[in-house]
Amino acid sequence: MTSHASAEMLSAYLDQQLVAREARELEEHLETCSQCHVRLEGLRKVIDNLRSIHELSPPSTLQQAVVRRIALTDEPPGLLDRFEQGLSLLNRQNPILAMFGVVIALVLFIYLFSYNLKLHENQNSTIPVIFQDPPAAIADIAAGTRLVVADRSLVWSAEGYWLEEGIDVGAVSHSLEIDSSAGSELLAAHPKLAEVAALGRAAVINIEGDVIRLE
Amino acid sequence: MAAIMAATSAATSLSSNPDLDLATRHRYGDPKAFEEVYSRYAQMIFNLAYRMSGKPEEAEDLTQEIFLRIHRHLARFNGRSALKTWVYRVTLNHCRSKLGRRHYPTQPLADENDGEGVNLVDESRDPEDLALARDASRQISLALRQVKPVFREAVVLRDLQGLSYDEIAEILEVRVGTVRSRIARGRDRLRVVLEKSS
Ligand SMILES: [Zn+2]
Repeated sequence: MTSHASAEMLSAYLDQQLVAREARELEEHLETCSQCHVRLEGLRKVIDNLRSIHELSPPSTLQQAVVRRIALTDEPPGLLDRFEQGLSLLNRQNPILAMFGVVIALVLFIYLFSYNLKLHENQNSTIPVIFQDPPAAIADIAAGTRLVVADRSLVWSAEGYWLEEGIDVGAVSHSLEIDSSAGSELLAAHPKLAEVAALGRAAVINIEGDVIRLE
Repeated sequence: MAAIMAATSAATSLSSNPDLDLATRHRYGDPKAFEEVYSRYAQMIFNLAYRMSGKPEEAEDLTQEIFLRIHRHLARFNGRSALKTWVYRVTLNHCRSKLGRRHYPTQPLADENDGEGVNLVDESRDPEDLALARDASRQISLALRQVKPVFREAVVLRDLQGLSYDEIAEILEVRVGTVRSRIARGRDRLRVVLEKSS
């Protein structure tokens, strides 16, 4: 090693993240370079100090506060879940009621199945479009063009993405690729987003307080 | 019909993934499932929120909001990552979106007087050790606020939460090399801040 060691090398060295050859070269350099040696000891001290910080215990009232807030703002588990749950109770208690329940469940099941199928079809046919170059015909959208999709008012920005109205672009917390696992989780949680994804362009939208750039 | 019965009973039976079982129990309205999630992760979430916001009161609000989100979305947890990883992601995303609007405050050392340090150290130790440790951890706590959030996150996950480089890479959804560089930049910034203040 001819030049000084980088902070990254020194920090990784302290975490035993260097391969043997790198570590040996660094050690040789440290023997003769007091500047790097001082920096290494400074980093070691930082790590020691960080590890001396003890965790705080959350206040004992916090759990109650959480439970209260959930009761005030969150909907109970989904209707279907509760129905299924009720059904499994009925099964045990009253066979006739259970039969009746099963018939209703069947109707509900077919309905939801066809709904999901449609959604699935919709997602399958639209998501890949995002990663293709937009066809020339729709390449130019005039800035300021408005569109309502999935109950969101979108405006086409001069920079070339859909921006949900009322959102400060500076507040974007992260970008998410629809194609990634996080992206498909998001789509599963918010099926309506498939419509936004179907636009085939980047979009900056607010999802429950999170400002996300969807790619 | 048999298929439906099989489907409903399969949904309530347990899989080989305990994290997924917890999510399933939550989906079926078992309040014990969420209680378990709370007791497993409350301390971690609260401390992470505290380190990212720099203020205990704010950490409390953030923790409440984070649990609200967990409560809302846990049913859809799909078991592809560990629940712990998922909870870390929810926590960091929430902190980023709430604090990002104010660009995560990075406060000067001078205006600090929030009484922190009271619970920071183990009270059972020798008084002199205690004073020293309190001083060191107070200093580093304050210095941490002067580190850019993206580097602070990495340092907090590594040196306060004690996670491995691989775990951090999975949580942040970046490469291990990126984790290594972020940790180093955070630590080096801390080194400079500490050297300036002493
Ligand atoms: Zn050197």
